[in-house]
Amino acid sequence: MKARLVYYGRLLLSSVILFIAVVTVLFFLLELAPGDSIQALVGDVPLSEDMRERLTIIYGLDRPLVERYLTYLGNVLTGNLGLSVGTNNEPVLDIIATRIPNTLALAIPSFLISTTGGIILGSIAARTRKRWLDGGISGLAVGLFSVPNFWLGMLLILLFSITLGWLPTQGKAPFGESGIDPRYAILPIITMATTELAYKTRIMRSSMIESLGQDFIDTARSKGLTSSQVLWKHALPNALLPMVTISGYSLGMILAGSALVERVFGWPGMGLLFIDSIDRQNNMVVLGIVIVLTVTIIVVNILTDIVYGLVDPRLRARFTPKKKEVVA
Amino acid sequence: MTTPTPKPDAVLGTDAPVVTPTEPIAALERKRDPERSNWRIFFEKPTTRVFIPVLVFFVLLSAFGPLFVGDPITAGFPKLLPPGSAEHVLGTDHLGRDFLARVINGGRVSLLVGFSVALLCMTIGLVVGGLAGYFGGIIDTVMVKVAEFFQVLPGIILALVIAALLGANVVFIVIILAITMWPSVARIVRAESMRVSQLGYVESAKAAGFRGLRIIASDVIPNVMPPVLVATTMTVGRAILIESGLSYLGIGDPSRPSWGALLNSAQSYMRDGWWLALFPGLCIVLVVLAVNMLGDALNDSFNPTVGRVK
Amino acid sequence: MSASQVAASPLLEVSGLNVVLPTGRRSEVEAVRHVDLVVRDGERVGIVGESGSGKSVTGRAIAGLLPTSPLVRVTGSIRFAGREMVGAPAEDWNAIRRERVGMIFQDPLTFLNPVMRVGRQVAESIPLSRVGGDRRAQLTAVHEFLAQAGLEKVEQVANSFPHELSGGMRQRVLIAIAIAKTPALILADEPTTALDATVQQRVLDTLDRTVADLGTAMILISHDLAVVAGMTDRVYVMYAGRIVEEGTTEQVLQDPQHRYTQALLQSVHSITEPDTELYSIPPSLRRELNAEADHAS
Repeated sequence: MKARLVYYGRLLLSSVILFIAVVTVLFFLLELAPGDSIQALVGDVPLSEDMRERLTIIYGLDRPLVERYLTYLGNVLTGNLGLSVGTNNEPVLDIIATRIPNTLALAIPSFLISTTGGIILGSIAARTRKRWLDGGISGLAVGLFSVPNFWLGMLLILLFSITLGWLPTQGKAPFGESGIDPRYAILPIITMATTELAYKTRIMRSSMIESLGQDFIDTARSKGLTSSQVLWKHALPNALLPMVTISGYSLGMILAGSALVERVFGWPGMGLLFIDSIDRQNNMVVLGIVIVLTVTIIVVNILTDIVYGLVDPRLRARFTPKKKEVVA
Repeated sequence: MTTPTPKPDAVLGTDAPVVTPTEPIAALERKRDPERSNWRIFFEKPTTRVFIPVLVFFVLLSAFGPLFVGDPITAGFPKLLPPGSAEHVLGTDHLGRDFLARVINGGRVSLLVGFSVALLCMTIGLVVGGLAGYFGGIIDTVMVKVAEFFQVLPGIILALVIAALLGANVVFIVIILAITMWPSVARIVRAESMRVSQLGYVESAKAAGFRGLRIIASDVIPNVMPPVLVATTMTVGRAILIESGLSYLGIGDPSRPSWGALLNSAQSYMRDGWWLALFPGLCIVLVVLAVNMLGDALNDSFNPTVGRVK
Repeated sequence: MSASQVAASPLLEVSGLNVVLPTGRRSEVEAVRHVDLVVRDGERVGIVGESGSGKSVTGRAIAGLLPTSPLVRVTGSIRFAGREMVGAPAEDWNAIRRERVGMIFQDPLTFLNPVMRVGRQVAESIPLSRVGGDRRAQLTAVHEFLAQAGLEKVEQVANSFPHELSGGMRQRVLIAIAIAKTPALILADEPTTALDATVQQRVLDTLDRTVADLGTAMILISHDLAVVAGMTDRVYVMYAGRIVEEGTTEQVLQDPQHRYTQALLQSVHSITEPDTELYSIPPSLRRELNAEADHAS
């Protein structure tokens, strides 16, 4: 038990340090921004003298650098990401919070589709004797991997929305409706999932090939098991382990790429907010989004570590001392 | 037991050609074809033969193309002309500019960024990774930590933030991308140099008195190059993709638009100007695909997976 | 075939076996050259040779466990109880492997599935049909075979994963996997090479006992003459893919006829006998033998 606490304690500590490093880098980037620091905070909203004074006090801009840094850090760690000056002084965190569900509505299905698809296609490609099938799947994977996913989105719009008129082009629901209309979500999800699908297919394929080359496959074959049984019961469980490892990274990539996809489809999620805020130089929001993203990725990484530790029996036992020899 | 004095005959290898003594079978190995160098294998692959010309085509097009096409910047007439006419092979964009010229000039920027980033990554990666693999210790830890940092703060996001706060120009983008992407190259260099330093001849070089840097330069690096080349090749593709994403979002020099930037303008004109979206993207795909396929071919030529398929 | 012919049909008859393996992108080697061997019911036979002699490949060829790459070529004849197996379809080989031939491999750590519990891996050798479709009967059988392989606390062992057991225990699990299918023939490929010296003898004893108890035939493949000496009735000596000598174990070890066997014994004696100079097989002998092998193929 103690070993487990130590391990996770260390993991948590290094995650926190990583997070602080990110916040520090962001803070100093903000400092480096040319021009008036208040203006930098506020963007292109014109300021009255009165506002200036108030902001100077709120953000402690007349204080020394170190103090400002620590205040900022303290704020972030307590969930205060500042105020978005451009839009009625709403807290940044609240603004982001309203947009996150939209992004997740795309990100989670994309993640699931790309993972399932990657496992299936990768396994087929690895196991088949038909060279054309393996070549075809691998070729498709490399091909899709080489396509900028936002461009794929544009092509899909050109094809399905503009030419064929089957699906809508922009937004998440018909004008004025709240909630998400599935017809609007199809193309964005496909777009988001594609690059990851290609990536995971490649990984699964090589993982499966390696798994099939292991010695214990010989033992399985020596029991007279059919090649299907060997594949499903012995090769596949082992081949799935690396997929768990990369799933954290994959989710991070999906979220990071959401800015591009959401722009193509005008999808009002976190990514689009990010871009809009950059355009309007609403920098508190920009930083706020980056911080939220970072926290998400850190949390996902920790979860991945936990899941992997549970799934691989060799790691499940890493905290317990080796069993005593039971020898005849 | 007295210490036996080996007779010359019994010391294997002193009077015989070197045949690995524990592998009598290996001595009888028959080559089906004469042994070819890995480079020859690479250049004889059908994939290579298809995609090297593709890559060369785009490089030449970007390098010399702008000399032969019209002005990509000045607005003119007609606007939004579809492709196919003699004067404007790829049509014109929403400001009436010849689209072929736009695409070719865009290629210059995209390819320049891609190759620059890859070269920078390779250099930094070789240096840092080589040192980390050979000396280990602090350099190693630093490298791992930097890699972790960029996993948590994806490069594209950081580049966006920096560009937003500090303004964007091509050099900046190249530097930022190189900084975020070198760890993956360095990791490979490190793994390979660790593997190589276990091999015998590094030990013997040390015994012969060569110092660290000399060993790295003359022994470690040549053996490390093939996987590094593969990684660098893949980096070109990734860099082009990331750059196109950034410029699609508006980050970049407006007077020197890359393919991604062309896609940015195309976004608003998809209904009336499908070609504005199609061609720049197609170019990106072809170049990145070529580079990725070549990387795979390199990988296959230099460390093939032989035989042990069950 | 007449009754006496059927009765006389040996359990395993290998003639003219040739195996070509790929060794690189464009090279290959004839790992097994014109090998003839016979094993009768209940007989214990050893195949001895240094690493690279082709003995493991021969064993795998007999069990049908060579790599499935099309570059691998097997010619000649392998007959199980009169039935020709070279070129036979996969289902036939699977049937043979399910019921008649068990194989014990060398390195128990890599040869056991790391994410599957040991008991389940043994259970795979025991088809439900054999125990009347009853899972509990299958589990009991698993425990029995684990016990027979010399393990104690079999419930605990069956529930464990391979990495939780010691090397000796894992090797016993491999033995259990092989005997659980109540085979007619067991192939043991260097079964103790990966084990600690202290554990080796005990595992060998267990193997000896189980084979004797079950009355199965055994082919024991090893580079270690001492291992083979104690456990086999007949022995084949291999070098460079060929069988250079065969006979009863006693005969071959006391009075070797072939120069290679003689050299082999001499080098073993030079280690075990005090006050003898260390002897290694001279390169000149190897060159001769290699040339012979090349010629013969």
